[in-house]
Amino acid sequence: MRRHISKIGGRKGPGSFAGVLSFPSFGVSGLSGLLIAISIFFLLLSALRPQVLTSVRVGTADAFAPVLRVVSMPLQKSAVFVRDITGLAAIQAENARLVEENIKLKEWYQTALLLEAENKSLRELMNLKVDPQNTYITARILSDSNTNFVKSLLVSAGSDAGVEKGQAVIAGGGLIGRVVEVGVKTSRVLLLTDMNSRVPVIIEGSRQHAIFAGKNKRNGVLVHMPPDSEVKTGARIVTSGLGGIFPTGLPVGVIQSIDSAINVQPFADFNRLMHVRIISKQVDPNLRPGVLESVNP
Amino acid sequence: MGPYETISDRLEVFVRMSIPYSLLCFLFLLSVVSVPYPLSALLHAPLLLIAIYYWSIYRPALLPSWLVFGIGLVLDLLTGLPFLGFNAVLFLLCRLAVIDQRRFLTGQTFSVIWLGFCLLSVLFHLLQWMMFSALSMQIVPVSDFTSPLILGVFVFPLICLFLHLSHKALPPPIVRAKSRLGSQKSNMVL
Repeated sequence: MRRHISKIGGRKGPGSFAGVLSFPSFGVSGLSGLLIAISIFFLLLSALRPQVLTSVRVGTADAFAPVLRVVSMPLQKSAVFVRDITGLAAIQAENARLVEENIKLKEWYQTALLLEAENKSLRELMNLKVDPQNTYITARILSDSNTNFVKSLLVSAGSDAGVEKGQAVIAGGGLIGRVVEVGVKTSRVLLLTDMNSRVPVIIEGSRQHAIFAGKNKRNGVLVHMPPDSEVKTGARIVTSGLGGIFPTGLPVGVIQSIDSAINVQPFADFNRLMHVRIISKQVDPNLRPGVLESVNP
Repeated sequence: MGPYETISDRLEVFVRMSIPYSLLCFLFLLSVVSVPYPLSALLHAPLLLIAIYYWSIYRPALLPSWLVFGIGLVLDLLTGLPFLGFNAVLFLLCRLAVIDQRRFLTGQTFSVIWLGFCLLSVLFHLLQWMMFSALSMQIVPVSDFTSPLILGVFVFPLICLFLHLSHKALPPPIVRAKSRLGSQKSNMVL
């Protein structure tokens, strides 16, 4: 019978002793050293000139998209199955809550219909120009960063579906982030909870402008607010539309607590996301693309 | 005549060799794929680090440095890390550290191997935190790195079990030895 024998190829360092933990000497072979040097070169390049590697990043994501699509589907279904069978009690409680909520929503629906009709007639009276309606591109989540220090998603819609860099992404009742990289078949979404994410928002009620800043946690914080601003727990936060990246009025979250910082809990549940909706940028009919004409002397 | 010269032998070797690589591929896909809660919590564990640690001890030839580099690089590209080469350099350093201690780790009990992984995991996450803080030019909270560290320590026995099963399926290594009578090299299956 064949026997497994592991060939011991450990290098004897100056502090080594058979059978005893030796001092690490980290002997670097030629190939390993070269590969480490290449890695460090890439690290420095991506830190100093990140745009240089964008095409490589996007190309790799596009190449792996079919594999990720096939692998993620059964895993997502099994996660939902596990969640369903382990959370029967939670489902019952949620069902009771939803029944109550549904009764209230039916009342609100009637009110909304009345208000909609009233709004329509008032707009017609005042000849008010209404913002165009948003259009959406729905995409499935293929991959996420799976780390605590970067919060991003790879989704299954790219430039061929009309996705553009900077578009807002919503899911689960609220804003989740914005598109930062676009490939042909895939796009990368930077989540609003990432520490590099900043979203201009407005606090409903007080109409106070602020910036929602991610901090790599489930919640974010509000920054750049005047010290005397009135903020209450439970106030809704929506996008202000300043800067032109996000449309106005997208729900972001709710103020959860106020201590040394104003903590905001996003409406979207990032743990349960499977699909996202990318909001197509609105085209202003008053603007038309400029044409750069060459000037001949 | 060499050990694997008939077609059936080579086919058998190919099938046996594909098992650990398939497992490695699966662990890689688990590390990048998006899965909702509750499975998402498990996938935050450093699954690839466990595989690199295991194979660096028991069969380093199966996971050469260029493959470790490639895995790290593609992982960086797919997970959207802002710094390309981040995982590649960390995985390569971990592989070097483990190979350096192979003489000690080979033949040890599972608890010692587990303890070794705990130490390596602490070093890996500490280095990860230092590098990320330095590259992003801000102090990243340490707590971001503790949960995958703890999760990895607890998940290690389970992943190790699958790696061990795939290891058992491998054909024995060919040791190239010099013949006593001359300088001609011969292949032996031990």
